[in-house]
Amino acid sequence: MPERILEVASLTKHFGGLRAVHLDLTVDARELRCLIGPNGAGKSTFFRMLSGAMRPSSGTVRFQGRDITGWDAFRIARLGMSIKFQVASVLEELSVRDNLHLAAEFRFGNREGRRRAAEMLEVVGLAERAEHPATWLSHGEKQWLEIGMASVGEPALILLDEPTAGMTAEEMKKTVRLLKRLNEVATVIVVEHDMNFIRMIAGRVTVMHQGEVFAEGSMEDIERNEGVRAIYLGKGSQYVVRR
Amino acid sequence: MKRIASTETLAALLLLVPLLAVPWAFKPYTANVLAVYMIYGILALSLTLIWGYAGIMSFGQTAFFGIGAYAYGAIGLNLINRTQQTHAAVLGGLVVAAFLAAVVGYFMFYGRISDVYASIITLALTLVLFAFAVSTGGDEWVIGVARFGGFNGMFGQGESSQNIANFQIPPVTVWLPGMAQPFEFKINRESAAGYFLVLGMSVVMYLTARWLLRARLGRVAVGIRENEARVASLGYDTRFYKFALFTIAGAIAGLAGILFAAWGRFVNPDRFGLGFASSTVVYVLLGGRTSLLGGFVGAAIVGYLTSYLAEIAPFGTIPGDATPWARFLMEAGRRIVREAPLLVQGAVLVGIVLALEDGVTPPLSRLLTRYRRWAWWLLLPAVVFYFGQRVACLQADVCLF
Amino acid sequence: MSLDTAAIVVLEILNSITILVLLALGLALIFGMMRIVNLAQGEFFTAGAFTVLTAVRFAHLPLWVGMLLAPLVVAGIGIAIERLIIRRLYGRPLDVMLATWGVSLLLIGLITVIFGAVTQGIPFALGNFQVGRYSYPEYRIVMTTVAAGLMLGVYVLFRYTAFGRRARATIANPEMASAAGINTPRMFMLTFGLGAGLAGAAGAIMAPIVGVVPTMGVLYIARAFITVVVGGPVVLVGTLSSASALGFIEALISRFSLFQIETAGHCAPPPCAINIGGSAFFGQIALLIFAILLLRLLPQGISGFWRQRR
Ligand SMILES: Nc1ncnc2c1ncn2[C@@H]1O[C@H](COP(=O)(O)OP(=O)(O)OP(=O)(O)O)[C@@H](O)[C@H]1O
Ligand SMILES: [Mg+2]
Repeated sequence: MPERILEVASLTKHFGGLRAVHLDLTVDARELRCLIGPNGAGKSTFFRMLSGAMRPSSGTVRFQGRDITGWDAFRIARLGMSIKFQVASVLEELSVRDNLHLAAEFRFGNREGRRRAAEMLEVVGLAERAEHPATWLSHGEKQWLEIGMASVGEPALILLDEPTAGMTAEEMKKTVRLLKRLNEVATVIVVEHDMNFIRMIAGRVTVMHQGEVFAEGSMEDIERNEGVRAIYLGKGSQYVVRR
Repeated sequence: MKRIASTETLAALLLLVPLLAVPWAFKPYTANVLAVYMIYGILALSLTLIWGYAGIMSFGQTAFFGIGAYAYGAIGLNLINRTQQTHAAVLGGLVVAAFLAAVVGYFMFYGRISDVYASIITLALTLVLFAFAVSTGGDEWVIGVARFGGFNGMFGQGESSQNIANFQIPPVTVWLPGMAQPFEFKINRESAAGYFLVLGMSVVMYLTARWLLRARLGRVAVGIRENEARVASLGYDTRFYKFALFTIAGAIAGLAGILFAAWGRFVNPDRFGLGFASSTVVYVLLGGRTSLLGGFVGAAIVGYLTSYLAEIAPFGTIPGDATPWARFLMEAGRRIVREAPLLVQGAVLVGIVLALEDGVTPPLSRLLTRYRRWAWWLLLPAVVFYFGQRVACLQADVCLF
Repeated sequence: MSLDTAAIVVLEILNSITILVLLALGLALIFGMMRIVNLAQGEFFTAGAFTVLTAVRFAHLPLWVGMLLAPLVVAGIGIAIERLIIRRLYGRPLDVMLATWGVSLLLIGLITVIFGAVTQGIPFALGNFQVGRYSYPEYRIVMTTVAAGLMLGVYVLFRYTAFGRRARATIANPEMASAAGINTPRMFMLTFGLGAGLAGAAGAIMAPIVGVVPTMGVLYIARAFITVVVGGPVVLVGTLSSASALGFIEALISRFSLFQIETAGHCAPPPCAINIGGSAFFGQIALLIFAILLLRLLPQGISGFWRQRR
């Protein structure tokens, strides 16, 4: 049986009267997991709790065998979990290179960090824009920069919240290749709305609905699942599975 | 890259040539005035470091300046007659200022209070220290021979009630092994050593700040300004970085305070007051908070303006036969000029914030970069010539104009 | 401690709380409702005191008329400043602080230009009453009553009037409120004016017991801010709870000397000693230290803490 890198037990978040998240989930090491669900399902809130950006109301998170519930974000990051938030949050006034350098430096130190940042520039295809302030980048380029920042520290687990939002079909394909490459060494959980993307990724899929796990399985299973169709259709036609 | 480097060299020359020539080119008064502008510039630099780069607004950076000055004064007064030097006083001033900043920073940043609260706490800190310093006028407020003196400021008193001669805070005095006698950094007719000390410290602090910002501390600080949660999620304990930078800035402000007390041989509660606190913010805002030189430029501009306004006393005496209206206008003008420092500061704060300017230094440096060729071949020689001529005139009576 | 001493201590604590409430209420209103920090609040307080001074000294009006005028005049000043400056800066909290600081300096300068930098007193005719061996100023009881009245007034205004409903809606969600037809810029303007008016009222009430001088706001502003910060985001509950906690500490430390430090000074009757505690400024220092310690535990302030717990 493969090692379990992430075990989440009745992790709950309340906002006032709203229970935004309440779920159990396990993820194996080296998995490439997709997390889908309609708007407001609680996916981003779940990620924020995992990464320590938000404290859970109750429940536990075990990561690499350690209980990290309620830890500070920086400690969780040091343990080997990294996140790309939903809203692009690159450090706008720093150069592209410095963004990556900063992300690599805490783990590898100044010199090695600089070298790895340079490598990552190639990987995400931003070498030519290395000295530009991140704020000059296009939407898609910012997403890649963030993916680079999330992976340059060689984390064991990478959380990606909507990495292809605002990308063209071509850019999206490139992102899929990038993710597969990251997955060779790390576990990846990716939140996406775009079903084509999910299909290309071809990993295990977890569907969230109203804060809970609604269904889990391969993409084929999920696409056949009447309940899943219903929750998407109920929310409006833009979520009809695109072909 | 090369272009930037050459502009930097040019800017350094344009600033340093005149500053180095001043003691020979002008009367000691000018060196004295410039020294205090540079001291305020160092204070402003400490604010630039945490505000401009880490995004932490400290309205009370003056608290560390003042505490550094008082600590230097207290230790210096006690030791100068015994050891003939102020090594311990300088060190003590730095340590006390850094310690205060560390304590306050610890509570603010490790408590995770919001940025707005942090600004207010620092302001409250300096104002409470002001209230404290003011109420130390009584005879009992002494540390050894150093009297706090309340409003009147700190001075030394005789050791016994028989020997009551008062004395002032000593200038920075160095007496190292191997030196025949102690060396005092003073600014007067004979010596400009104090001026060069301040100039040297300004350069050293500027370079230190620049180095800090290029190191990891600086990158993380800028990251925190941009997006603190993001930097934390990259694995950095942002509380620690804020705390560290705040403490360093406190020590730099303390150094400025030490130089101030040693320069004027005097410190009083005004250094904690609202007026000085707001001046510091104005220096940074006017000079440009994204430039490490900004604070120096702002301090020099405001300092010059204020002393200029203080000198023009309009309508020396109001003539007896003036009409009531003229009388009223003259009186109003006179009062407005008297309050000019406050009014100017207030107007600068409101004006810069509303007009969204990023201060005067960035546009100046853009101008310099753009016309650097002209600056190299015309401005720099002109400056060198002017100051060379002033030196020749004052030192050897060879005056061209 | 005898009974009358205990009574006096209680009265002094009450007085400290009163002063903190008076100073902080308007500030807390502006901060809690608009999420901005108005650094000119101290000068609104000063302006209130000078309104009373002008009314009594120069217009020869009765004292109470001046006190009623003060909040109106200062609310007017506040509204003008909101329209001219603050309105352009919503969404930029730090710039609001800087700009209002500028306004504060300009106001100090202007008041000094008009009235001169001298301290002036306002005569009033209330005496003392006896508590056992001590006498205690009657006016302080008036102040406590007024402070309580102001808090009650703010509560009623926001709870039971149409203005209050609209203001709360605006504060909760400006976009939604303006979509619902509420003139949100006007609500912000009026809220700011109200906060300024409250500072004016505080200045007017306190004018007779303090020296009226253009820089008087600076003396009080630090305490006002600390009270607001410790109180947190809920206006009335926050102000009252934080004023109570801080006022308690301040009054006790101001009254009782904790210990003495002997010093080497040349005092007229030797020996020389510094009393730690037992004077007003030690009260202030204790207040600051206590506030910083408290914020380490409750970074959102007292009311923020309770709101989070719920
Ligand atoms: N800070 C917050 N305060 C109050 N409610 C919140 C907060 N953050 C999220 N919510 C609510 O929690 C629920 C889950 O939000 P979340 O952002 O996690 O959804 P999501 O699945 O990421 O949606 P999307 O696909 O649109 O990104 C939503 O109803 C949202 O309104
Ligand atoms: Mg989301």
